[in-house]
Amino acid sequence: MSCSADPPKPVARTPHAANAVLAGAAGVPFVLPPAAQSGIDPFTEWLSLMEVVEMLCPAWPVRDKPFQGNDWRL
Amino acid sequence: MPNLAAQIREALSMFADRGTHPALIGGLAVVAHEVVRATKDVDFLLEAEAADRVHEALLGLGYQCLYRSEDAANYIRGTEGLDLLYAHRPLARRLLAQALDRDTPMGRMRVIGVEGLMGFKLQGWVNDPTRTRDLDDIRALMQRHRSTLNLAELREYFALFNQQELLNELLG
Repeated sequence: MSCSADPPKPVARTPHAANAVLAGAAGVPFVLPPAAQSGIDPFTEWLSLMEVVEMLCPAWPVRDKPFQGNDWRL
Repeated sequence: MPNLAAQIREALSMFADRGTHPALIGGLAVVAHEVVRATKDVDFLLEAEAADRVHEALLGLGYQCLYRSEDAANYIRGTEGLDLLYAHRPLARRLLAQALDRDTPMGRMRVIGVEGLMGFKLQGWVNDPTRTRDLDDIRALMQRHRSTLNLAELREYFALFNQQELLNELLG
């Protein structure tokens, strides 16, 4: 078995790369590319997401208290 | 298809049977505006005049009313929730009137415009500052639609809640 003379160099992680990893792993909302370019319907994307979410979390917390506050202006 | 989709279909059918066509708001409207995140928030903006007949219909479908005022109502049915905001002020009535029809996998439904959605998200956050999800949604919608947002309309909503500085901060 032969080995490379030069060990692999560590890959420098830029702040941008770090953010990309976090976005994928930490639930940061996924922003679709413009619909005209992607052709992805956001509801279809959401249904796919929720199928997985419901498998992982079948007991989703339900709101158990009414809306808070009374400052309604719209 | 998740039960949530069936729940929304059932609600849309009930609304149509009662002769009303509310607009989707809340987390699912955020999805409709191309910021996809996990949510089970089924929220609609409903003309105030339809509040009583929709209330009766929801009870008939097995929902329990947790809370109801002239501005909003919360319903639950087992693990399913459904919230209504009532449009009785001019701004909300305008937003409801301007909501556009969308074909979705759950059926045809009206969806509030992105500026109005951000206005309602702001209202939710002002009423309950612990709801940081609302601010996150505003930021994500701002990022997604920055180039096409009607800033004059957006400024109107932020001024309504004395949050002009927040808007300036979000706009950078």
